[in-house]
Amino acid sequence: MIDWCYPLLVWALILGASTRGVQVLFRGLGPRWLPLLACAATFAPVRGLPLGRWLHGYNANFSIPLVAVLLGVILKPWLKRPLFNEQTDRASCWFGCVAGMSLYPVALGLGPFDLYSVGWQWPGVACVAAILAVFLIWRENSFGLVLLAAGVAWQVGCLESDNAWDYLVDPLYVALSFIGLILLLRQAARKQKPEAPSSSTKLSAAVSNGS
Amino acid sequence: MTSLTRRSLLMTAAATLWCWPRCDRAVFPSSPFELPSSAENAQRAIARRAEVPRVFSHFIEHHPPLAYAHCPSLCETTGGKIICAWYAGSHEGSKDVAVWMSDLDRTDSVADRPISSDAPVDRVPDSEHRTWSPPRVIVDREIAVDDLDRYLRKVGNAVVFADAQKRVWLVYVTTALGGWSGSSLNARCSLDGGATWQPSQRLSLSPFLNVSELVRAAPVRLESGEIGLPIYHECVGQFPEMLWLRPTSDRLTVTKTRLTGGRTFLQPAIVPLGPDRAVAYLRNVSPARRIDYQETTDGGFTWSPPRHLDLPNPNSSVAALRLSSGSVLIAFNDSASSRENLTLAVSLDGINDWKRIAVLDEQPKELFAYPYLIQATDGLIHLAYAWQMKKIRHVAFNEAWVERRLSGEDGSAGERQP
Repeated sequence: MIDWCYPLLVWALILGASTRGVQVLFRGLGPRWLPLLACAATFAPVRGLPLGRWLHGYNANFSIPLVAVLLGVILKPWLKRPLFNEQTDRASCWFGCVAGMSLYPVALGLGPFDLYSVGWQWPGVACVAAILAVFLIWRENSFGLVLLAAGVAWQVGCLESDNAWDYLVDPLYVALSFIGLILLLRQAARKQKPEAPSSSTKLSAAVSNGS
Repeated sequence: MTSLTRRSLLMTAAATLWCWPRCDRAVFPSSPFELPSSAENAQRAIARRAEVPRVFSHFIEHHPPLAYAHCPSLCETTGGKIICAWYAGSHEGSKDVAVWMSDLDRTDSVADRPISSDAPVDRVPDSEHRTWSPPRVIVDREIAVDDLDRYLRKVGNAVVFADAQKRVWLVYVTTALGGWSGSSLNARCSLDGGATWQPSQRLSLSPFLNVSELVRAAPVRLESGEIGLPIYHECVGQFPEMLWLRPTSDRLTVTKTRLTGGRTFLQPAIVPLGPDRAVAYLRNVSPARRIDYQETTDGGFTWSPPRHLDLPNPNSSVAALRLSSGSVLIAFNDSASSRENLTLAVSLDGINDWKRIAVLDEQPKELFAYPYLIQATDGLIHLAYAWQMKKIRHVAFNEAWVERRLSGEDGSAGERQP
């Protein structure tokens, strides 16, 4: 039952977050509750099935980190401070990029070994996820809690898949991680860039040079 | 609660959740391939020598006829009943395509009415031996949507097989988006030999939107009761894989391993030659136009790099079977450029020195494709293939007929079966 409901919830979050994204793009277009309405649309019955279940045909296994990212986007207008701080965002983006880059080229046929099959083995991906979660929680990085939640989902069997990889990454999350990482790196580069000298500084420099 | 205590509890929880074994977790089987015992083989060899060479053939037809029929598969269920499943509709990939099924009851079959090997396959009047039941739909788009509760665009390739408990399984392809490279696999179980079917189960096999996994060739059984089903991937890369299935009540637990990577090989047909040894014959999509093969000596977990066989392949599916003599029988299109013929060949070791024993069909500008071979418990070999992509042809013969053709006693080894 839970694996029937979970994709419905994720599609609700995807529609909600997309609406919120459009609102941000067009500077506050529509009321604040519009993303919630978009979320609710996922449950609207269409030919005997909720709309989200029809959309489920396009992707079955959305990861838990994606849910965290989407929740962060949707809840932003209602929270006094963001659900995840910059440190967590950075960990999430790096995790998505590294995991996606390791998994997808191999899964699509690069080389004779299938890294995806390690997700069914023990100790495999689950063990790596455990170590990473413990490390991040020790460092008080909230992404560790996201990985802990993924562990709960894996034990409960939220997804149709039994493979641990599917609880940790999916193509949408990896794509968002790449975008997020580019934005974070650009932001960091801007911070590091030395400020352009002001006219008074130039003047004092000229005076000191005696010119 | 101090920060340290809180963190310690969370760390313990994370480690426990990820490291605690899931009760239903899929595991890779570690069992040898199921092969007939040496006593069974000896019995079969004696029976083979005493047998009269037999061969017969008929078509499985739709009434009214459908424009397109493709990708047959066969399995034997309880009581020796042979089931055939294939897909058919107005054209490949159309929304009206359904997986159909028909069964051949052993008691009614011509196995009880031997035909001399001199009797040509296509001169046996179909009407005399048509014992296949009228085809019936077992999965179509509506049934699959209903079972899986999601949008689906079309159904495609299907393979039917029985497990050690005589449950019949149908693993079939559906797509929601794009062509066949957007396919996913699903399974249905029948507990009554194919009469009724349980709801479908979606198999999650790929990290990339769970797409691009297809099925075509016959499974291999393991001694543990688990099943190795050859599958293949088609999106970006084109490569063969092995799906390991553990049947439990009416569901399958799955894992998979890869035969090779790259963009060249599809539709592996796997033939166990020993408890841990098997050969996989591969459809070759490269310009090499040769059937390739790979070998395993560890029960199918690792495979040698693909090598060419001395048999052509026009980018088409092949079927293979180990005979009780230890030889390997292969059904293939004997051309590097077309599917205009369907030929049988035999090799003693399954790799070298292939001898063509019969051409079952040959007609210019027509297609004879997707052969599927099984050997029933009575020793009869059943071959099904798509005949001109319009209907399914079933040809059955025994090993005595193969030996007769191989020895050339009827003066026709390697020639077209008239």
